[in-house]
Amino acid sequence: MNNGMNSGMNIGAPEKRGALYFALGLFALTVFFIYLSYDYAPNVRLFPLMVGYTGLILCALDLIGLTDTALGRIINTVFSGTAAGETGKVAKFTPKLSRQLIAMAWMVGLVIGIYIVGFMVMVPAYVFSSMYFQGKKSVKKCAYGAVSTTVFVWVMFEFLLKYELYRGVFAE
Amino acid sequence: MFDSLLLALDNLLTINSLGFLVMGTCIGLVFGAIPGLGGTTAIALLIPLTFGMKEFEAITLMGGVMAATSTGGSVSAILLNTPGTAPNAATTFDGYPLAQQGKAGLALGAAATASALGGLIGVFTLVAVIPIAKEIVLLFAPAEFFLLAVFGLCAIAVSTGGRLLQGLITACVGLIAGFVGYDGVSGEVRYDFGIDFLWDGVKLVPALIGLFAIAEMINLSVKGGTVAENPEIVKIQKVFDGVKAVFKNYPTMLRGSAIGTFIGAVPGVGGTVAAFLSYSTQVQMAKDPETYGKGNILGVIAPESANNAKDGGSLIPTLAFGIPGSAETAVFLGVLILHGLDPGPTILFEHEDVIFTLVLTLTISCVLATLIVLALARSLALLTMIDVHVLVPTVTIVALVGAYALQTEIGDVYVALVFGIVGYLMIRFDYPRVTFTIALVLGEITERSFHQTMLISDDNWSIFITRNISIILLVLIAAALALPSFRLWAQRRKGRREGPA
Repeated sequence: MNNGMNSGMNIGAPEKRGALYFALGLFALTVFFIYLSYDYAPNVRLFPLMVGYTGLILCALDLIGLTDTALGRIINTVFSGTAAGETGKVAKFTPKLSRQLIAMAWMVGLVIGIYIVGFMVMVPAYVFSSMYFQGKKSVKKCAYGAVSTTVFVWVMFEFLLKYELYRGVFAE
Repeated sequence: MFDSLLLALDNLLTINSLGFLVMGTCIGLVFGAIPGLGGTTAIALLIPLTFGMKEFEAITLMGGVMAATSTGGSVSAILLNTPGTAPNAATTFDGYPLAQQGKAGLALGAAATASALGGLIGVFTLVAVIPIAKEIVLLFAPAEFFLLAVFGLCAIAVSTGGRLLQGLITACVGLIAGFVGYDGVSGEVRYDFGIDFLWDGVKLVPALIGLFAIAEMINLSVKGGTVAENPEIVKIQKVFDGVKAVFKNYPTMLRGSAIGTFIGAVPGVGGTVAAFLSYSTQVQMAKDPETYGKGNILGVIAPESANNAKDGGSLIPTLAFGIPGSAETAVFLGVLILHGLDPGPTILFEHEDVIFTLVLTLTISCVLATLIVLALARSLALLTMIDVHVLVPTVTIVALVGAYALQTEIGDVYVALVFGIVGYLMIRFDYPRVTFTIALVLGEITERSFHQTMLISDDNWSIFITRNISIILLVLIAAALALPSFRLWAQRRKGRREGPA
C-alpha cells in the first residue's frame, strides 16, 4: 500500500510534483476553512477551528515530508513507521496526466450533458460514445450497451421505483 | 431478546425480504469477484434502491452484500491470482498454486466452506456480545463517545499501511466536509457559501457514491484493459473434497475465525490484517511451513475463515457505539441513518430486532454465497474478463442516477462528481479514503458529543482526564498514534540483535 509518495526518494519528478500540488491543495483548503470559521460566533466555530488547526499542522508536516530534507525524512519515518529510504521501493502504476484528465473530462462532460438534456437523452449518448471512442468497440456493441443501460435505468428507476428522472434544464 | 429474534424472523420471512437477501448475496458475489469494485462500492451503489424499502428490507439487501463480498473475492483470488477484495490477497498464496496444480475445485470448496463457517462464527459472536455491549454502552458519557470517535479515526489512520499522516489529514478534511450546512448544536447554517442546496450539508449518499463508485470508475478508466490480467481459466473439479478438508482441519478454521472476529472488532484494522494474521499464524504453527505458498490447503482455510469472520466482529463497534470499523461498515451506517435508525445506544436498546434481522441475514447469506460459489465459480471468474470500457459507462450511469434519486435533486449529481474526482485524487496520491468516509459519517456525533461534554463540565477540559474510561481511551489514542514509531523501533532492535549473529 505504501508507495512512498512522500519519501521523495524513488519517485520521478512529475509524480512528486503531482503529490506536492495535491498536498498544497489540501493545505490551501484548510487555510480557507479556518479563515471562513472566524465569521461565526465563538461557540459555533470552536470545534471546527480545533479540527482546522489540527488539519493545518498535519498538512504542513505532509508538505515538509515531501521535501528531501533531514526534517522531511524524520517526519516520514515517524508517521510511516518505516526507516528513511525504505519507503517508495514499490513503483506504483503512474498513468499519463493526459489520460487522467481525459477520464475526468468524460465524467464532467457527462454531468454537464445531464444538466442540459437530462438523463434519458444523456444515458444512451454517453454509453454509446464512451464505448465507441474510449473502448474502440463496434457500432453494434455500442448500440447494445447504450440500449440495455437505458432500458435498465428506465425500468429500475422510473417504472419500478417511480422516480421521475431529471429531463434537462429546458424541460424543468 | 427472544421477542426481538422472533420479530426479526417475522421481518425476514417475507417474499420481499428473502428476495432482497438473495439479490444482495448475488450482487455481493459479483462485486466481490471483480477486483476494484468490492463491497463498499456495491453498498454505495445500492443505497438509492433502498429509498422506497422498509428498513429491514434495506438491511437484508445490504447484509446480503456484506456477507457475500469476501466469498466472491476468493474465486478470482484462487482462479486468477487476482484478489477480488483486499482481504482475499492472502488466499492467493496457496489458492493459486493449487489451481495451477489442477486442484482449483479443492481450493474453491475449502475457501467457500471456510468462508461460510467463519462468517457464522463471527455472527454468533456478535449475538453473544450484544448483552455485554449494552452494559458497556451505559458506562459511556458524551466525553467517552467523543474520545471513542477520535480513537476510531486514529486507529483507522494507523491501519492504512504506513500512511498515518495522510490518514489523519483526510480524517480532518472529512470532518470539515461534515461541518457544511445546518449545525444541530447552535442552529446556525455554516460554510454554505450562500448556496441554498448546501443548507442540508454534504449529503452522505451522493458523497459516498462519488468517493467509491465514481472514483473507482475514473481509476479503472485510466488503467484500461480488462479488470483481471490473467484470462486463463482452469478446470474445476472435486469441490466436495475442499468442503471435507475444512471439517477435517477444523482447528485451523476455528483459529482463523477467532482471529477474524477479534481483529474485526478493532476499528480500522479490518479484514486484510485479519486474513494475513491468520495465514501467518497458521504458517508459524505448522510442522511443514515449507509447503505453504506452494499449494497447502490450510493456507486457504486460514485466511478465508478469518476474512469472513471479521464481518460479525466489525459490526460490534458499528452497532453498539455508532463507530464504524471499516469503509464498508461506514457506508452501511449511512444506510441505517437514511432509514431513520440512529446507530449506537439507540439501536442497541430500541431496535434490537434490526440487529437480529441483520444477524439472520448475514447467517443465511454466508451459507447461500457458499452454495452459489460452489455451483457457479467458473462463471463468477469470467466476470473479471469484462472490458473496463464496458463496465465504466454502465456503472457510472447507475451511480449518477442513484445519486440523483436520493432527493430528485440535480445538485446531488454534482456532489457525486466532485467527490468522485476528489476520491480519484486520493487513490492517485495514496491518501486513504476510509478515514475521510468515517470522519464524514462521524462528524455530527463527534461535534455533538464534544459540545455536550463542554456543557456538562461547564467548559472545564479536565473532564477528559478525570474519568477512568476517558483516561483509558486517551491512552489508546496515544498508543495508536505511537504504534508506527514503536514498530520501527522494534524492527531496528530486532535487526541489531540479528545483525551480529
